Amino acid sequence: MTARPDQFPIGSEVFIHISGGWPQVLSSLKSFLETGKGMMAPWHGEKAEVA
Amino acid sequence: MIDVNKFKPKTVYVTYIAAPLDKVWQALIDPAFTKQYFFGFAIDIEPRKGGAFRLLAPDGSTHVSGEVQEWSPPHRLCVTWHVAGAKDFGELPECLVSYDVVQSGGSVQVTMTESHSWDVPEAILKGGQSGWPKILSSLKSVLEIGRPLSIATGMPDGFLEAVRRAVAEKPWLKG
Repeated sequence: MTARPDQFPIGSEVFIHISGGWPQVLSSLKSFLETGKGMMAPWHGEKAEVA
Repeated sequence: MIDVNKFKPKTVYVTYIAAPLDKVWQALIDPAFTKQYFFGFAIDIEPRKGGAFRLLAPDGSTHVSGEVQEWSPPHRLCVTWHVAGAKDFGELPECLVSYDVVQSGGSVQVTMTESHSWDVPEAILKGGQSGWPKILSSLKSVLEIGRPLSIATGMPDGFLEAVRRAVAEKPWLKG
């Protein structure tokens, strides 16, 4: 997945937010297919290992 | 040193990797890792601001050369990026490539940002938009399952023509 951030300054809140959702879901999908384990969402905290 | 403020981000790729943060950083700067996931290229980088940066092809020739703009292990690396080893491409202005590495829950978020100092045509940006997902998906596989992905290489349709056109017209010299 590719984001086009031309409209946002580096480090902007909007840009930080679009870096979350879909990249997390698709990264977890890839992990799930390759390892059999998905990823926990980051709001579960640092202790959340791969589920 | 160049003026990094003249460069605007054009392509960003974000991925999440289930590996320790230090190992993710190591994989970005260690040639033994990059050879596995970066089309066979070995990184050669002086670990300091102002140091030299290169990506070496398997035959030892320089494919990409540049200079380290930011060296903040294990969280941020920014280099200038000049594709020296490809026909025509070497005549384009250099771009900036940065990696940002941050802990995100039990995973590590890696953000690649490709920034340019001129109004790069879409057809040229598509080169990076095609290549970075392959490289960083393979990085994730190397770190999570110990082996890279097998992905078709090659440039998007219209890419080489767009590079040749830009080299002929040199739009970065105008305006």
